[in-house]
Amino acid sequence: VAHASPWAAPVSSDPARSFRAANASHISARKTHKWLGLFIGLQVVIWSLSGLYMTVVHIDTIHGDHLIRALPPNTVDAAKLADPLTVLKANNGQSVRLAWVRNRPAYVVKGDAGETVVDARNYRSVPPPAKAEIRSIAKTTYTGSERSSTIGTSRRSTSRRPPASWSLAAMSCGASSTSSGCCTSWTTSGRM
Amino acid sequence: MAAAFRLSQEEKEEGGAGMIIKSIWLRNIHKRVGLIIGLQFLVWAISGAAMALLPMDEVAGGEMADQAAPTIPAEEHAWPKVHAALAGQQITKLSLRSLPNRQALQVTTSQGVRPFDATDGQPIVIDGEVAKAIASAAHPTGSAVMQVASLHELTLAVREHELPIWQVDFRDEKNSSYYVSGTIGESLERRNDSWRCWDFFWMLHNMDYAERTSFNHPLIIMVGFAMGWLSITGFWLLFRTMWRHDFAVLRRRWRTPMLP
Repeated sequence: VAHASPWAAPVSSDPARSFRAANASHISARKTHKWLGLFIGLQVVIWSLSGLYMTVVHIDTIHGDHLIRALPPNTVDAAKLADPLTVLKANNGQSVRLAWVRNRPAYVVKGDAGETVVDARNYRSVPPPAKAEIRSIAKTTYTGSERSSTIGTSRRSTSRRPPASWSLAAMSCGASSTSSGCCTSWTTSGRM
Repeated sequence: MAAAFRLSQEEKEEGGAGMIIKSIWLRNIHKRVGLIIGLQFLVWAISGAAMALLPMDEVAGGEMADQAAPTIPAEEHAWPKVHAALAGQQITKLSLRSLPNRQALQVTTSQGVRPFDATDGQPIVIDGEVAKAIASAAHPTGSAVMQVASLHELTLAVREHELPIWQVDFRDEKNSSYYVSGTIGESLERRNDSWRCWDFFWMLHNMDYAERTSFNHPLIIMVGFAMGWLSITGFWLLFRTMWRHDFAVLRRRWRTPMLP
């Protein structure tokens, strides 16, 4: 009796010996299944349920696409813009790009000392947005009706990209920086 | 299978020694659901393990050549030519980008994106030769280029991009193919055998056999539900199973090792 297990070949009703031989692999398969279940069963449960969650909740919802309002793109006439290369050299930078600060064109010059933001029409330096401006940018872009509760700077990036500076994050926050679900936060990471 | 089931029922009836098989019906349904989706379970396990084992750096294209940024032109007569060429079109984006041996002003208007040479303001056309130079400059060992072709339709390798695209195939041991944008000369993707292998397992894993993109389609959600049910019931059944005998065998084996 000690050798009999629920999954072992029958002992009492003793069918042909050949049946038992054919069943040997069957039994070892059952045993393997049982012991594997004991050792990795919990991880299999975690894997299958986490996988199920990722398939059921659409990736666009996870990215928070529904939380961002698509705003019409800003445009500017080339004739109104300063020479980007002049601005680049005046600020000792390595690269330059056009961005929109307070809906006005600005050149963001990247150099060894970080980023400098210059008005793209008159070369004047553009101050970084204040907290109230960040709040209003967030409000125009966010599709929900909830008010943002906190605005803060964080040194850690919530997206897995390297942290951006305050001004950069503030300007690009229309295009990124939402997290989905119940908690919607606007992240501006980096030095203040 | 039916025979085995019958036997376990018989056993239950004869369970005089206190051996009662619990949850017979759940065991039976668990087994049948397992038979139906067992193969996909295996495919998920194998493809998941394969994707975890393939080195991510290689899948992403591997080592890339160090490219020194070309110097920024000293004279500033490109800009007037650029806005003359734009002929009053409204600009939405503008940036300076490095191409091999020159800087380019990349301007986006409602008509699309156009690169201009930052030195003389001439429009840059990304032809096969330019695409080849861009791809070669990014290749870590400067391997020979086997062929350069313009894509007529998007292949799996560049499914997230838009035409026009140049495909540059290298004669290296990884069978690298670099893809260069035909509009702005950007290096879009660097594909190799590691990526092709990874992408095949990714297809098996997300069950989107045509596009290899979506993992939110009805088929995978259905099989995923079945798999979730299977794992939960299996875990539950672990605690409805006789372990006494198995542990006894184990204990006996530890005491007298080397016995089969």
